[in-house]
Amino acid sequence: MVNKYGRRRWLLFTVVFGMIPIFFRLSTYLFLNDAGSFQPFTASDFIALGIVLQVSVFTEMKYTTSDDDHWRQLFTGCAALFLTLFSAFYLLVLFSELGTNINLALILKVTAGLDFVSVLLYLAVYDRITAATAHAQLREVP
Amino acid sequence: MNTAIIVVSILAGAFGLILAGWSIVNTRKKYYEDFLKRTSVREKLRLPR
Repeated sequence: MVNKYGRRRWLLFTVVFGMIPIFFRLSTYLFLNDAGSFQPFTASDFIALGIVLQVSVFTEMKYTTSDDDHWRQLFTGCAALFLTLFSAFYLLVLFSELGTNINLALILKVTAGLDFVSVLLYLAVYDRITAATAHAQLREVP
Repeated sequence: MNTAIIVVSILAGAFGLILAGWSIVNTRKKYYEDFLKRTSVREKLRLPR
């Protein structure tokens, strides 16, 4: 039950801004005449998007109502888990620059998949907050 | 290393998918009547949809 304006604002501020590194890298790749070893997608950009999404989930938790503690704890724990994972993957990307044998293509695929799950989690959080807010407004109706 | 990355990611992704699905279903159940009434109340109060 995400309303039209809320979804637009969310898309603009969270997803689109989080994807700016991906857009910039992709556009640079497309306009380069000789790309050479320059990659159109890298794991670090997807990791940045995932961290932005999960931090947004953390900040949205303050809008939840007090009777939703169980749900809030579950989502806070999940966001912490995903943040830890993304941080660990970023560490692996940094280690790969030292010449360590790390499969960056695998990390790219894995982080893209986790980003998709992060978007679904954020939609679930937004859905809950919208419903709870509407419910609270209804209570105030005489 | 690669196997560990795949296993951990699949576990975390599955947990996230299940949690998101459960949350959406739970929200529908918890606020079901609210969803039914909201449209009529908004019309009554002349609030934007």
